[in-house]
Amino acid sequence: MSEFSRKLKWLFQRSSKEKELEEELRFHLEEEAEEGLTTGKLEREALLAAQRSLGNLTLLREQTRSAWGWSPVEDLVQDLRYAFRTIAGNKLFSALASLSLALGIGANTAIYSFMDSILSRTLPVGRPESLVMLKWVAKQPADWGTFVMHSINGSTYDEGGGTNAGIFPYPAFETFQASGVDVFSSLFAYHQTPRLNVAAKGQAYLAAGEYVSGDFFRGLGVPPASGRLLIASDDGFGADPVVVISEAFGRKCFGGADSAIGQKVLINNALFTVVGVTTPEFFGVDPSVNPDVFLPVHSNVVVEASSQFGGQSAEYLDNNYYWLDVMGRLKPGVTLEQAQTTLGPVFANWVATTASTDAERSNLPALKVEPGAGGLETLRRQYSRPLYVLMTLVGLILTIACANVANLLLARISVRRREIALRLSIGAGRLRIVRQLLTESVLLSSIGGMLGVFFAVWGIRFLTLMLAKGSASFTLRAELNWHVLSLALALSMLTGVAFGLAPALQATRVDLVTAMKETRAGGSVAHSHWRFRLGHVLIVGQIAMSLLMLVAAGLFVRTLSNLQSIDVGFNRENLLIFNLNARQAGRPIKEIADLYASLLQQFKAIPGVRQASLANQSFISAGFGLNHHIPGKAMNPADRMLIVGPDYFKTMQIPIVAGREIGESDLPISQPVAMISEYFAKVNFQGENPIGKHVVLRGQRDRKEAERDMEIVGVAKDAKYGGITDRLRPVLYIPYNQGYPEPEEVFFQLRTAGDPLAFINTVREIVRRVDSRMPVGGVETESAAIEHTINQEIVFARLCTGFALLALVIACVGLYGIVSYSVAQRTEEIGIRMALGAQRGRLLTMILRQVGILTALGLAIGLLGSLAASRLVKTFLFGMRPNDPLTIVGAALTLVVAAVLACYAPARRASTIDPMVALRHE
Amino acid sequence: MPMLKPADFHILLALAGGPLHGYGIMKQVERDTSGEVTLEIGSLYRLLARLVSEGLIDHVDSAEERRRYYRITPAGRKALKSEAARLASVVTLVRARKLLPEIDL
Repeated sequence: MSEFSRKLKWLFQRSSKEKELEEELRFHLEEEAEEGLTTGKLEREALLAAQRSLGNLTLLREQTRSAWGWSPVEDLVQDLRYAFRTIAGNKLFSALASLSLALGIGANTAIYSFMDSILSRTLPVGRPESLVMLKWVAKQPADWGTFVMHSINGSTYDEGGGTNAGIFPYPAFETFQASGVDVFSSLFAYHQTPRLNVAAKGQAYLAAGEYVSGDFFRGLGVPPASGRLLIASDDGFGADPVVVISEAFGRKCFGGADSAIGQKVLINNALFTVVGVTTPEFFGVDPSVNPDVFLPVHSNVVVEASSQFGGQSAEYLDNNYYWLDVMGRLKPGVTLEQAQTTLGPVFANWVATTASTDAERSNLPALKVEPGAGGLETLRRQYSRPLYVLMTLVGLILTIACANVANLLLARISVRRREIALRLSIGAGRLRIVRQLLTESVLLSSIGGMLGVFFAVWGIRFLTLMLAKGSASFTLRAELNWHVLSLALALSMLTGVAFGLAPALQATRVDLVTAMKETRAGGSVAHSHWRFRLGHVLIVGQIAMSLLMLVAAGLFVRTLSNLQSIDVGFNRENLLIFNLNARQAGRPIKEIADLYASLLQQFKAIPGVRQASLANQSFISAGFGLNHHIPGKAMNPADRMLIVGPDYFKTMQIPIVAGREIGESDLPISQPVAMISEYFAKVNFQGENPIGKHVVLRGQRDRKEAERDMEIVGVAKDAKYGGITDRLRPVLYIPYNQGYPEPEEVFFQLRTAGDPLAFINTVREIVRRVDSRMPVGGVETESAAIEHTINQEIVFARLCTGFALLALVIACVGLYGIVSYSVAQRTEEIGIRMALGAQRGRLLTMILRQVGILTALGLAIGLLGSLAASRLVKTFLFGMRPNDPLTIVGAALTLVVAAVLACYAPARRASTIDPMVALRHE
Repeated sequence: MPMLKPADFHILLALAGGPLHGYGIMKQVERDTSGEVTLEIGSLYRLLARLVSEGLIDHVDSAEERRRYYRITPAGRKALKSEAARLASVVTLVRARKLLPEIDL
């Protein structure tokens, strides 16, 4: 019989085995006693002697059993059974403990799942680790006029003390392709398209798109879901116009991936053939974009031909126009460093030839090759810092919850001191009892962890909703994957040990004799001393951490209220915004202004619409400029522009401070006019009266024929152009119908009576009658549009407030628990005090004073902590300093009030103790 | 064959003469070693349980419920012999180094 099967047999015969052992030992005892008798001892004496020599029978049994080989498993089963019983037996405690842990673990898991999806997500492509991105870095140019990048379509970001970007001119991309053949198996470029109008089967859709070079799909190594993906021969002037669409878009337009193949679509009114569909999980290379259509790079001259600012073939030769993102796949065995050493000098040489002045030559961009497995880090840059802050906060919550449960356990364990002492005295090993108590706490935390996963699922949905509110194409998909679940598991185990170990160790370090003598209701003061010190430390810690969280919440709430109370300079109430693009729908450029004018008349005629106008961008998120100058002066690069329709200021309710506003009388044939903001007047005319002065607009790339000499007719009050926290900009307002630039996409503004969204169906109907190829996009109210620009602050303020309240509740439960417990313990003492004539009021004060001392200590520590920590969130704040005294005082007051409330009930109970009852308590 | 612990050795040696119950083993070991080795009752049953689980001894089914007799198994006997041989060779070695007086047996 193998050892294992023997052990297995024993396991099943356990109870009969135990009985046998008992019998055997009793027999042994009798034999010994008998022998004692024969040597002349008295019967009783002999039995006693035998028992003495036998020692601790329970311990002996335990030791013998352990030799049977199953005791670790058996012990665990036994411990678990016992733990279940204890947990079920004390429902309120168990519910409080596991709930606070569940909230802590749930919040951590939810936030972590977002971090996981942002920080460790790799592109859904084959072997993402061999992908690299090409970037460049340069010193921050003091003046962009002296930098080799003359024009840009993309973005730069500041990091590591320099200006960084991942965009290159087309000739640079060609250079990389030629020189990188030894290190790259594939090198490809891409560029996000403007919003596209895609018409399929007579229905027009607004779509997000990506221009991709011919090697894009081959380089990424992704398969098509249907048809074929783009190849090198698709990307070039004169190639057949073909397009690849996403699986979701294929379903939306054609009902399925397969039926999309071979279909003709109009993209911005240019004809394309769908040749393939990507797989559902493929979202391109930038998790924040999620394109519907993939077009060859060179098709931009066709797709954007209609736009006055769109793609032109000259771009492909322009060495100073930066627009293409470049990515490469390293050949097997080639390292990132090798790619860097190969291409670094190549780019350095190339870019040197594109500099035309010494100033440009003094600060040339340098190439850097970066890992590309995660795709573009737009999302990472946008969300990682806020997520770190949130992670810290939820970490604090979990710590508070642990401290709380430890405290509750501590209180409960001291009630069980007699039981533990009893078990120790009849031979239970200390380790064994510690293990058993730990089993209990880990079980408790596991229940918390399981509940926590449910909370996390809700939390993730809730957070996704909250975060997505700000953007139409929110692609951050957090989910419960094994990373996240294993974090939840690890947290449960860790917290179980963390809050269980100290009480367990403490509980088993007892003096058996005194512990046994203790009364049921509690014991001598001397013994509870150490235990209470630990409990007090935990309470002080909880209060300190709660204060920290309250301060954070206060700072974010105040930031939000500061942001919300900002005067945007116009009336945000009852204003509907939506956009139309007649140009993309195929309307000839010369007709569009008239089309918009007629639409405007129809919108104004809707009953309940009080005013209507249009602009080329939404005011609150505007950012637009063209070449222009004031005669005799150089162009001020800080100037911004907005192309507006008649009565724009009346509609927006921006006051006019001088002159008149652009109105219906400003016709295409009349004198070109313009308006400026007060700040524009201040910056560009330095106190001179601007009315009657001129501003000259010039065409892109100095197209002389587009020149427009405008007379300033009015000055408008400053308003929040381009964001409520953006700095004040000098703004130039020009009419939409007086020549270059002709209107393309425009945002209509309707001032309504009552809920603006109630008018949207009427608007859609009017637009459909005018042109069914023209989808109505970006429908929202102005106040929602403003909220979107501060969505992160709103989310932050709400989450932090929620977290802080949670922390406060948990800490108060802890405080309540420990005070109740201490009152229960001191019932006798209080009874005696009262019997001796102590006043009820004084007793109340006595108990509250103790709480007061703990709270004050906690507050002091928390205050120091928040003074140090609030600096870390400085960049998230608006209109206030990190150590805002009002916030700190408010937080401290909230905490004090909460602490007093939490303790009042048990303290009051103590003061109403009937001395007679208390003394009879035992 | 691993080395036997002294207590195990004495238990096996005691059982080599025939089956015994726990108390009997204790007494036999005491007799064998002239009282030099005393098995504490606390450890005796633990040792017995372990030796059973190692297959060196096993139980004898007896008609009498309460008395459980232990008996040495072939494996136990083998272990005992090899331990005895090892001890003998150690004794020879010790003699060769002149650490013990030569005694005629």
